[in-house]
Amino acid sequence: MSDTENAALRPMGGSIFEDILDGYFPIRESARQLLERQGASAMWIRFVHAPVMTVSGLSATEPVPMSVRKAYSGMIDHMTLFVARSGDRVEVSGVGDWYWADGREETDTLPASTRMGEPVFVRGIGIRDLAPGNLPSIALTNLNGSLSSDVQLKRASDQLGWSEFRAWEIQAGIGHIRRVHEEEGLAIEGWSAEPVAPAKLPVPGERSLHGPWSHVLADVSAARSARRGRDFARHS
Amino acid sequence: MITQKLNDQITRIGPKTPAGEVLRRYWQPAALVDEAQSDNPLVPVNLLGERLVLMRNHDAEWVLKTRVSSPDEAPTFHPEADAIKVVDDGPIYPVVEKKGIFFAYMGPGEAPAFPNFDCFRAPDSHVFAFKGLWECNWLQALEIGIDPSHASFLHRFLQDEDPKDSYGKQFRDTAADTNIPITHVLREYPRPDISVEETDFGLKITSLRHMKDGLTHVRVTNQVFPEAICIPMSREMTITQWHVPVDDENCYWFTMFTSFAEPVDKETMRAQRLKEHTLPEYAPVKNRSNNYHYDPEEQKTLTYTGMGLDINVHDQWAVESMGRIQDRTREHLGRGDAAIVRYRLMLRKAIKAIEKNKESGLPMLGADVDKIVGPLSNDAVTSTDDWEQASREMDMRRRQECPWDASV
Repeated sequence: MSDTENAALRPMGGSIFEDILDGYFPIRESARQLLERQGASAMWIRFVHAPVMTVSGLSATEPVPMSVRKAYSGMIDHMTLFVARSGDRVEVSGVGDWYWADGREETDTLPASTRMGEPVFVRGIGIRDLAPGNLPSIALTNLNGSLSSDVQLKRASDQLGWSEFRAWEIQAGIGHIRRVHEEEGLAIEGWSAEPVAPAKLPVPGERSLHGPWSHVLADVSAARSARRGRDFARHS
Repeated sequence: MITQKLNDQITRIGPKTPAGEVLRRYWQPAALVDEAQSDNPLVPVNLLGERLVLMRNHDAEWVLKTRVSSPDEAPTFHPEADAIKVVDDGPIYPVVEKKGIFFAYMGPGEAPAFPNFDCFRAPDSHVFAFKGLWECNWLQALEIGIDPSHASFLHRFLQDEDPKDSYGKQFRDTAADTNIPITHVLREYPRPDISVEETDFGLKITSLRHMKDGLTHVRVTNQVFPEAICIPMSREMTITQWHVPVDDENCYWFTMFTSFAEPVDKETMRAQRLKEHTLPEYAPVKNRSNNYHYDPEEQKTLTYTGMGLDINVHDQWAVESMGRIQDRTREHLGRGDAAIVRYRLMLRKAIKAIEKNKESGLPMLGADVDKIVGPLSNDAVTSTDDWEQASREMDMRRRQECPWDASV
């Protein structure tokens, strides 16, 4: 791949949202339900300060327990997940930091079967296939490492015809949630520019929705996004 | 459903506890001005697990000092003034008087500024303050106030009262610009759509009850961080209510009733509430020991609870019956508890910020606190199509017609 070659780019439809990730179910199940509720094929979500628990002897498919007397409990300090439908399943990948309050051994990954200890407020981006004739509001990209991230993201934005956007790093390997201590760096400030005519948009191609992708981009221009979307861009 | 350890983190309020440290960063209601009416008052104050006395210092300024106490004192022990002894080398906390309530600051460093809420900027004639004891942890007392659905069940009245008899009572007025009693709306439309927005002061909670004929009931309430709510009481008044810990297992509600157009009839409101409380502890007459005067006949015909018409008693029963500290290892919150979820997130963020010495990020502790006004808090029945604008316009009209500066 040469220095001038564009990063992989998949224009999508979708929207920024705030919602509640249900509590007490395994993360994977709550994420599946949230994805369904948002009518999305994939989503990027972010949340902080969320209690989690692992209940002794309770498998991931068993119902919500009545109480948590025999459980390990902990707290997710921050977490960013990329969730994508894959046939009948959903793939949950992401990064975050967490601790167990009762001395459980800390590990480098958090199983997606871990249960949430409470419903969790999340901000996220629901990603849908682009309807024919619509302009993309969301895009997924996988930077190729040959140019700086800034240059590649700006180039992607130009290609999409966006005047203002913001990008968030996905940083996820497929199928696991890995520990990173610092949440800084996951969000990348976007750029404002004069609107440009959209280039001929890239065709989604064969790359599956669950990636790998390095960034999700959202059009946050006043003309194209609701107030909530711009608030999200400011706070997340 | 969290473990006891995580429950302790958000409920316990003694010195050096995580939630206690958050509350200590804010002014806390300590006593009513009504309690300090003698010539040289010494008012016992039991606040945030500390045994204190409200008194004037050598410069005649109000302060809170630690008083000598016995470990086996009742949580709301209220010694006579001549039995109070001050601990000479104990902490001294600053106190200010605001609209009938003494507020104390028990945290480190400079006390924060007060926001310019309606209850603080209305003239004295338009604000009435009262308090009452609930025998439970402060957090469950607060959380019922940010659950917009509970009013449709807990405060369900099976008959609608004539609004002209409603002065000083909550949920007994009609919705603005209509003849629809709020009791009717709450009873007939029990499942509101709830949305929650983070604000400079806490949370704005909007509940929409979509009614017949293209109408929507809009109720806007607020959580004021860390432990207050601001809600509409009637078209004329709002309630700003703090849930202030006495200790881990008891709390006082302190309420400022703020009137827009007319001065508050303080005598009527005081008499209504004194009838329901015994002094000097401000303990409710209806309580756990007498089953809250539960009457099954009343429950069949008049109220959901059978505990009388005072909705404060309904709330008191609901939160006290959870136990002294709610057992959240058995709790199951859902998406309808969005405001509780958002509130706990704010509380945990604040706990973390204090642990990391990043306190300026806490709500209302940064710059320009005095520019925080309002908050908007009202009940309105509007056209479903433009509920947001119509609700705001009704509140603006009320503010414009009011004789004091209620602009937002």
